Amino acid sequence: MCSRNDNEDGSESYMEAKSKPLWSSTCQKCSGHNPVIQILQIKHAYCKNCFVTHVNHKFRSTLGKSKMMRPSDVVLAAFSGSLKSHAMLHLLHAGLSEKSHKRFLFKVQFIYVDEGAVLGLSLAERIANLRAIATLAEQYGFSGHFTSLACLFDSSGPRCFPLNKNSSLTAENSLENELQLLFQNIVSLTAKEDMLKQLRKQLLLLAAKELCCGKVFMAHTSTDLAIQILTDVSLGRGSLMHHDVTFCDFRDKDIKILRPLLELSSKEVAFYSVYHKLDNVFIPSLCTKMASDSSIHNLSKQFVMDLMENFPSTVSTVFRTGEKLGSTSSPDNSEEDDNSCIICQARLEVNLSPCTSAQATEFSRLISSLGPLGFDSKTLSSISGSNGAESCCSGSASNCCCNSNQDSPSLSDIMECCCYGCRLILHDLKSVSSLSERILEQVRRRKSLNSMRDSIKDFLL
Amino acid sequence: MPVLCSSKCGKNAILKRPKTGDALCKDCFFWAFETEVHSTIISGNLFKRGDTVAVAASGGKDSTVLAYVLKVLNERHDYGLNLVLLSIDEGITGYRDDSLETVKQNRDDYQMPLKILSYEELFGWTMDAIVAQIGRKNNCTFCGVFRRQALDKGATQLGVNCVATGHNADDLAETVLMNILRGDIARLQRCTSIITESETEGTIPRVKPLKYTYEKEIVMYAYFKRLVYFSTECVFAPNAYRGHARAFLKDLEKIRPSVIMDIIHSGESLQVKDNVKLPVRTQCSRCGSVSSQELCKACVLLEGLNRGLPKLGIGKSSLANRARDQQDAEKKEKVICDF
Ligand SMILES: [Zn+2]
Ligand SMILES: [Zn+2]
Ligand SMILES: [Zn+2]
Ligand SMILES: [Zn+2]
Repeated sequence: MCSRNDNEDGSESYMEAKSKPLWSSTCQKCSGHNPVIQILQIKHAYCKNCFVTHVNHKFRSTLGKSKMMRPSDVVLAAFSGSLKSHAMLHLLHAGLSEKSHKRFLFKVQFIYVDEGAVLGLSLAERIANLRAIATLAEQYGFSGHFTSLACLFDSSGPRCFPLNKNSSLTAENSLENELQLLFQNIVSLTAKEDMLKQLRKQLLLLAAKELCCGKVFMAHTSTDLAIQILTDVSLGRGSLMHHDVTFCDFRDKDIKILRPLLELSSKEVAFYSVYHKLDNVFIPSLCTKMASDSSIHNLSKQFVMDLMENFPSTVSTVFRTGEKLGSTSSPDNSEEDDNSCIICQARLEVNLSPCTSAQATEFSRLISSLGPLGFDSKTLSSISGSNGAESCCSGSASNCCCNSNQDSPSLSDIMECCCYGCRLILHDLKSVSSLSERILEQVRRRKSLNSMRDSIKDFLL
Repeated sequence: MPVLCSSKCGKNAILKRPKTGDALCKDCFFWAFETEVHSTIISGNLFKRGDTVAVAASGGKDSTVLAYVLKVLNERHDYGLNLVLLSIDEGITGYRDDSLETVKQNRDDYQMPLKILSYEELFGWTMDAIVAQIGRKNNCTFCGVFRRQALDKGATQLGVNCVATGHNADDLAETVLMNILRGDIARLQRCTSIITESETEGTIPRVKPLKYTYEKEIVMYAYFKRLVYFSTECVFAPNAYRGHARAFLKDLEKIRPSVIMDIIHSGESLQVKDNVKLPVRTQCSRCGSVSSQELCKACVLLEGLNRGLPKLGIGKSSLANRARDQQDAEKKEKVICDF
């Protein structure tokens, strides 16, 4: 069945396998010492000192060439206790300790996000983690903060608290319960991980606002971003994935999320940590101890790890693919809040084409339930053009639009306020009512705005 | 315990749709399958009344089902299309001979005229001869490039308005992943479009009516309709990128069956930075087909074969180009010596 290759044009079809390990016997930089590490090619064989310099240099040049850093900036570094986020703090500290003209002029604070409630840790374990994190970061003298995932649902109180070796958590129970209920109701690990990622990002942005930091630093390496590209594509998040996989995510109009480690591979960062004897705090994540086929993110990770082992240059090709993606339109910072996804804040796509994958899927759902008898050809014309939100259950399901009232928005109401990727999370949600009150409130508000707009639209000029 | 058909028709379901998870009976499945293809044809504006459409027929399941469904829908919804089968004989012993028999069977069963074009008559080379020269490494590249051009030439000879190919949702999702793996941003942007844009005058558009149809449902449809198709995979293995993409997609699908549609959605909606240079498409100076280079890929590959430099036009071509220049230089020397 060779028609698969109809679209071939003879561009390279063979993946470059890892070349035979040709070990260099001297450092390619200073040719003095024995090399201790060799990354990919022989020209990257470094002795310990030269390697550390190389990593430092890449980190600085990533920040430098972005031309985004200002002396007045206050950076909020996300510190999870992982080796790579520790390496990021270490690199920042090194940059701030440099002499004269090489010294970073911006200020650095760090924040730890306690996700223990979702991971099923006890309060004692979470407090222990908190203090371990504080101890680990103490040596750098940055001012530290922590926040808990459940704080996202708190619309009034402060979200960030000072982090030190005596910090403690008082889990606010109703919020924690709300959070736990939400995750218990998500049936797949894929959707859980995706939801956690969206919530964490939002919380970081809110925390940065609260702390008056204009920039958030995340410790993503090029390897992480290659994994992210494959994950995002598979999760239907292609349209906005350039924000997830390039240096800067500028979706928020006040806060920029930057990824200063993106020119470094996970391997390089790991070696850097080893040389500096950096410790980490091990905190299990949702996918810890899970098989590689337990979630899309895990599978993408395994796939990239395998490529790394056998076709290392393909990993950087994937990462470079991400760099070429971007938005064709200038960032739209208009205050039109009701045009963004209520879960991930992404701008909702306006789909002009009547023939898309999203509509095809919706159409399949519709006709599978209607059958040839319940179907009339008018349905065909009404479905194309709409977002397919009208898959009404004709009264049989309690969560359908036909039973909706002001108090509990229906699944399709919520779907309408979500991007494609977040709709997939909702598909894996057992009950709509487990969504946080904050989200439901937004749906209600948007719905009433829409109906107001509808009723006056003939008179709007 | 039997499961009832999701459409409440009262019959027992016999299958679960991989795309949506709905359980359907046989009749409702046939109807849903055909209605979806119809919907794609209408919303994608694939055909115009009076069009002559060539179905690219390989004898495999996709093109067999495509030919059958197009015939059914053309009659049911009165598209007013004139359908013909167009088949390419690559010249692969033991593979193509048998699949061509299947295509001939389709011709008789569906009452459609059939045109067969061979690589040998178009390019002077069969795939067997090409493989004999280049070995088994890049044969799929040759095959793909030549096939593409052969379909264009056949379509021109038949005077059709467009060529319908059997690419299904799995193929498209796989192609999206493959283009990411090889960093081909231009093709990544184009590969999910349902009609290949005919930017250049004289190119015949290609359409993919099965773009949103799962491969598994195509097999189910062919199985329950008892359609005859040729199911042996090509004797030559696919290229490495496609192989990796395919394996990855199969694993993803096990985790979340909708992933195929989700990847296509990503492909349809992703955007490329303004400052990334995409190749400009012009015409090949030798044969006139669409190309981003002075010479199209088919002409370069052909030149390589004819000169005994088959690496020409494949992969990192600097070495091969040097060999060509050297050959040209030697030739010149010879000419000089002759005098
Ligand atoms: Zn050295
Ligand atoms: Zn979203
Ligand atoms: Zn039925
Ligand atoms: Zn040509």
